[in-house]
Amino acid sequence: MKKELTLDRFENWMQAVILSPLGVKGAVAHYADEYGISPAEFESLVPAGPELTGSDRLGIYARMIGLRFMESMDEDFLGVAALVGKERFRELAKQYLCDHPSRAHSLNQLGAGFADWLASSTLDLEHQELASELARLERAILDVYDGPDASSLSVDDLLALPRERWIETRFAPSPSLQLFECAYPASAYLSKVFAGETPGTPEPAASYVCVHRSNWRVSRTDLTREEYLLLRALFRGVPLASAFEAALADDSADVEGLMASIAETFESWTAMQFFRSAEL
Amino acid sequence: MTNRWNLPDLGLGLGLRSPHYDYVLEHEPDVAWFEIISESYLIDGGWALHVLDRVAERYPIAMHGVSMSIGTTDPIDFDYLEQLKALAKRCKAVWLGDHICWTGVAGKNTHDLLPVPYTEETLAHVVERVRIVQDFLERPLVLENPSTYVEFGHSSMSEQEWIARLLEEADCALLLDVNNVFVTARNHGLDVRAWLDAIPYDRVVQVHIAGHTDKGTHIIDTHIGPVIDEVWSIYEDVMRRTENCSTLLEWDAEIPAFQVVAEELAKAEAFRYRSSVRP
Repeated sequence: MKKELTLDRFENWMQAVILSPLGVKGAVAHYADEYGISPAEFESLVPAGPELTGSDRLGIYARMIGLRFMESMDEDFLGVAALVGKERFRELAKQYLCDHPSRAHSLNQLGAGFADWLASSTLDLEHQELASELARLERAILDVYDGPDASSLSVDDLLALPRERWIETRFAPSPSLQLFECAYPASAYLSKVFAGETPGTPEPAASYVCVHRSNWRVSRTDLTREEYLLLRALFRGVPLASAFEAALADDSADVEGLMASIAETFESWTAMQFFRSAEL
Repeated sequence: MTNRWNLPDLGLGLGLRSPHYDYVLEHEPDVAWFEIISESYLIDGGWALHVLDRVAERYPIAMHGVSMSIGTTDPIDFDYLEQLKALAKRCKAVWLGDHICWTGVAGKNTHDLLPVPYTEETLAHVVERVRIVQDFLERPLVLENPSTYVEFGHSSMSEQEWIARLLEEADCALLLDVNNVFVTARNHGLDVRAWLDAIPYDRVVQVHIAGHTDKGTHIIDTHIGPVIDEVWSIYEDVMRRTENCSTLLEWDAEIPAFQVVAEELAKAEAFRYRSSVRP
C-alpha cells in the first residue's frame, strides 16, 4: 500500500528538492526513494501550469532562494570575494550554504558561520587563512552594527578619574566592541576593497584591530600589539595595572611606544566609545 | 465596513526601509503609518532599532514578519514569538502578522514564502497553530495571502476557499495583498474576481499593493517598480468591498528615493472607496 503523503513528509521532500544543488529534476530523482515520491508521481504532485512544467514551477522557488542567498553573501563578504575572485567565492558560498543551511529567522545571520567554515574546512583554497580573517572582520562589522546599545564613558568622565588611581581602574568595554588579532593586514586590505580598489594579496604580517561603534557608525581602528594586549586584558575585567603587565610581559614588547602617549591613547579610545564604564 | 476587531483604517502607509531612514528622520514625511519587516528589528541594538524607536514616536507601526512559518510541521518557536511580542511592545505595534506559508522544516529556513497544499490536513494543522500563536501573542494574527508559483495535485480546495476557512476557523485576520492575488491568478490561470468573492471582508484589516516582474511565462512578486493598472483595478474593488482599509505600498528592490515611493503611494487615494450615500 502506498504511504500516505503527510504534510510533514511533503514539506521535507519539497525543501530537499528546492535546496538541492542538483536542480529540481535531478533532486526529484535523487530523493525519490528517501521520500517515496517517484519522478512519475511528481508530475501529478506538481502539475504543469498554463505556461510552465511542474519542474519549471518548483524551479522558480529554487532559483529565487539561490539568488537571495547569494546576494546576501555577496553583500556581506566583499573582501573575501575580492581576494579569491567572484567565481570562486560563489563556489565557496554555495558549498558553505550546503554545509550550513540557514537556521536563523533573519537572512542577516546567513554568513555568521562563514569565517569558521573557511578556517576549518579542508578546502582547496589559496590564501585560506587570509580569507577566513577577512570573513571574520566583515562579519564583525555587521554584528557590531546591530550590537547592544549602552551608554559610554565620556572623556570628561575619564579625565575626572584621579590620576593616582588610574592603575586600579577597571574599564568595561562597549558591549558591541570586538578585538581581532590577524596574521595578515586584513583590515587594511578591506579598506582598499571598500574604497573600490583592487588590492594585491598581502604578505603575512601580524595586525591588530578593534571593530567598534560610535554614534551608530561602525569603524575599524588599528592597534599596536601592545595596545591590543592591553585592551584584551582590560576587557577580561582586570585593573589597568594588571592589564599593563599582560601587555608588556613579552621581552619584545614596545614599552616606550605604549607608555609615551598612553593618556592621549585612552582619551582617543574613550572619544571613540570603546568603554562603557570605568570603575575603581 | 469595520473589521471584527475594530482595528483602524490607518490610511496610506509605506514600508520602513533602511535606504530611507535618514530622509524619514529628517523630514517626517506626510505618510500615515509605516510597516516594518519584523525580523529586521529582532536585534540587540544599533542604528536600525534607534530609527524604529524614533519613527514609532511619530507614526503608527504595523509589524509584518517573514519567518513565523505558520505552515511548517516543525514545533512552534516560542523564543521567536517572545521576541516578536517584545518588539511589538517596544514599537507599540498596531498589529502583527506574517504570511500564509511555511519557510522551512527540520530547523532550516529557506527564507522564501512556500505555499502549503490546500488540504483538510494542512487546514487543521495551520488553524491549530494560529490559535496557539494568537493566544501567546494575545492579539489576532494578520496573515497575508502569498504569491505562488506552483500548485499541488493533492490540494482538495482552492486557495481562496482554504484561506477563507482558515480565517473563520482560526479566528484570524487577513492582510490582503492585491498584487499577490494578481500574480497567483496569472501564474495559475485563475479568475481574480472569483478569488475575491470568497473572502470574508470583515476579516481584512490591511491591504498590500506592489509592483512585480513579468517574465512572460510567469510573474514574480519582486516588489519592484510602480503598481500596474490591473492591480489598481483589483485594489479599487477591494476598497469598495472593505469600504477602505489600511493600505501599504511595498517597494523592496531597486528602492528609489523616498519621494518616488511616496508619489506612487499617493496614487492609491484615487482608488479609495467613496460612499455614494450622502448625508
